[in-house]
Amino acid sequence: MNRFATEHTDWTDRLSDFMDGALGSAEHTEVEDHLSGCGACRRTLEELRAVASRAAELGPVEPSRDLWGGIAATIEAPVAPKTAGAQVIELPTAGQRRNHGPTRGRDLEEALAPRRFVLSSRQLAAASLALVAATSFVTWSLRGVSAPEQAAVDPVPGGVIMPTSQIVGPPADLAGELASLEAAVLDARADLDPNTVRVLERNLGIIEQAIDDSRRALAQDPENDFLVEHLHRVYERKIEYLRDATRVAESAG
Amino acid sequence: MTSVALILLLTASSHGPAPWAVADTVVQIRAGDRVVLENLAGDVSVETWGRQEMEVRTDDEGSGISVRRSGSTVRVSTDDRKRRSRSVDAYIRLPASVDLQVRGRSLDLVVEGVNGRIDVNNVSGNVRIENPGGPVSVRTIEGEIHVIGALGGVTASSQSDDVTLRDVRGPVDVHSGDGDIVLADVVSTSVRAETQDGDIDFTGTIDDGGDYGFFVHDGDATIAIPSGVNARVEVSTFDGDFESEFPVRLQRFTGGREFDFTVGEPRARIEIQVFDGEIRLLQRR
Repeated sequence: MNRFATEHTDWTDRLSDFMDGALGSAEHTEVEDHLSGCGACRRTLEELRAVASRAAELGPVEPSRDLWGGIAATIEAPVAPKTAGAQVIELPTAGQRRNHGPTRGRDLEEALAPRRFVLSSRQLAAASLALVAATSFVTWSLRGVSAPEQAAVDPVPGGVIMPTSQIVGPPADLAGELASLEAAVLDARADLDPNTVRVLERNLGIIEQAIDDSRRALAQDPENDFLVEHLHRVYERKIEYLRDATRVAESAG
Repeated sequence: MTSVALILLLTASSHGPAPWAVADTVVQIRAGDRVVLENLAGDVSVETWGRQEMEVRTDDEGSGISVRRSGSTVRVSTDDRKRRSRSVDAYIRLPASVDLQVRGRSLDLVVEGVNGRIDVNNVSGNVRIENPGGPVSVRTIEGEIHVIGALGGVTASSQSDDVTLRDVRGPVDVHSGDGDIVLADVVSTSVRAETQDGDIDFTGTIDDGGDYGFFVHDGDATIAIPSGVNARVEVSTFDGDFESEFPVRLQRFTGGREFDFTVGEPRARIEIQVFDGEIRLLQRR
């Protein structure tokens, strides 16, 4: 990446916080000064504001005041569609997009084109929060993670309420196989050479970290069905990994 | 087991009664035969030639490598009765039409030009497969995987290293637990790539009716596709940015930082999910 592109990426990265009013006063002023002399960044900022504005125009879906209270009754009910019908948010076309941005990817250097649209996580969050607040909570509950028989509800940081039993253990459909595979690998550990054990544990640690990341994210954002799907997928990967470890152990035994 | 090593250039082993231990072996291969390499450790190179024979050469007369036939299966393995983790370098030539199955402990493997089914299960070591004509499946705990020029699709998983596929056709399903995934010049209607800790880089075609999924936990996904594609793009992220060189008309936007949009007509499906990292959808020039 050339120096100009790098510097401009730094500026455009800060536009998210600028728009959100999340910058300190000195940095806010610094960005304002830059905007006064940079047409590309002004256009980017206008684009981002337009996105947030148009997303908000779609109209929010009011969350239930009592998130958990309705879950038991609706756990088997049809899930409300998350889409906003036929409403469409138009984002800038190629000709309107800005002319800078990061480039990376070993095999993709030649594929990079100079214009791109960037939507940061802050804009995604801001726009999406305006659209759907909590309706997907039921969706999350229906997807892979078993519903608790008892609604043990604990508050979590940020004031969001969710049943902790749903984020602590593995999904019900995977729990049995996970337990048996873990036991098998533990039994076989003595037959493995120390180097193999070290590799297996390191890899397992990566999966456990991904599981922990996903759980903590779910605690913060319990209505996020992407996170539920993601956590389920990571657990499936753990199962596949344990199967591989078992295979290694069997071949060594 | 019926052992029919047809031509054995048998070398007396210095390791006791190992009747099948050979330094160089040539075995006749019949149509439909399957060759199994098992319990091997070291550098193994497999190439094809025009003869209906398999030749096994090793760097060590006392390698303990044996060749046995049972029905249509020809097994090449080390004499492991003493549980030795002995490393042996081997060079194997065989007909291109065979199915090849490899079970390795600590094996650096190169396979070139096999047109039958290739199935590799390795514990550690790098695996490189070039110009396979049939379906390829590779699993390894530790070691890089490279598959080049595959025509029959690839399934590959490395738990702790990179997976690279270049110039590949057919269904693709790749995974890395701790490594990058590079999919370059892929022509397929079914692509699935997943890494827990690493980046995914994809260049290839997006065909009508195709299904393309890219899943990253901690890393970036960079997807470079032709400008004229027709696809519905489904993007999900928990903590990351999205960049697109394509015009984006959002059609779904949910509280989970998920959104869909369509490029051209929705004839294919592209799913990109990144838990923590950047998503880039680029126009391939």
